[in-house]
Amino acid sequence: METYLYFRKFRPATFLSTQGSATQALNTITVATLCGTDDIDSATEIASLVVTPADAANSAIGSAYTHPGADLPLTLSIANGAIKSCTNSIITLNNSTEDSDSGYTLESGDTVLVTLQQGLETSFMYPASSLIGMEATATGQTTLRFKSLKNGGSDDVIIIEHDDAKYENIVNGMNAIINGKNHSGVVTVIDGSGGNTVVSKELGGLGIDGLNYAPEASY
Amino acid sequence: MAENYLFFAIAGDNDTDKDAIMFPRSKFLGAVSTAVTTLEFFFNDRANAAANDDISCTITSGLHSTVCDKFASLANGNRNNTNNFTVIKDLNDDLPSNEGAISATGISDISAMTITTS
Repeated sequence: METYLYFRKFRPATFLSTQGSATQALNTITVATLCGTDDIDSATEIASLVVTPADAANSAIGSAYTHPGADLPLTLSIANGAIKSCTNSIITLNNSTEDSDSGYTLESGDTVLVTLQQGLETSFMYPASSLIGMEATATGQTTLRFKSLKNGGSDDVIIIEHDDAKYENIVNGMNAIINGKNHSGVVTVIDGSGGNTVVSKELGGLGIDGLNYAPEASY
Repeated sequence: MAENYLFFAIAGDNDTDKDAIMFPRSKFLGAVSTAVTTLEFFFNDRANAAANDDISCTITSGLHSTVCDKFASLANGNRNNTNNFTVIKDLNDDLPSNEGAISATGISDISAMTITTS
């Protein structure tokens, strides 16, 4: 009987972009529970965008919005076109000319609070037989490699962040999950959904607080 | 334990390319979410070409874990006195008049599928 290893990223997660200039591109999303910079490539992962204007003078906002005033939040409409693109963890917003209804022309000093949700490549499952190896890639980080879903020539990679010097505990725990008698079918290895981290008991107490996933090719 | 064979069929007839497909369980490579309402299953390519085959499923919002759990249960099922033909999802709603449904409709949380083969 095959064991299936299930992972789900830490969500919701938030990132605050403070605009240093009048550009529509937000700062690169970096979140500790995503092991720093995860590869955010899809608007499906964006739950909300909340702009807090630096001042009350900006009139270049979509017709669907009413300016909230300086330092007050305004939620942008993702469904109606607030996002222009989302690539390599950089969200670019439509300005009010590009989308007259839901665009928003950012000014220097504005902040945008990004909240991430479950979406593209945030939930994934592999048969244990696809596990190729586990390596210590930093003192508090272990990298798991799996056979590629896409079969394009390189591995799919899962990075787990944990307390320092716990690599041996991580690999021992993974071995127990796969070869022990406690599980059959799906094992939830790490589930960071809903704001509550759930880890398989074999990995308990190791301070797991980050999960990053890099499949071979995007969709 | 005998090999399970995993069957998928989209809505409509099973009469053209990519309407239905079946893989041995041992060819399953993994699954990944592609949106909050979609989950994609990957299998070794049948033709041994460059890219693997996949089935993209529309699922009930946020139920990736549930669908994975049900998939694993079906894939690992060891049913005595059967042929190990395992329906993961059968959406075929245009059966010939003299044929009934195969045996089961499969995972209830899947509402649509797209089969991609190389």
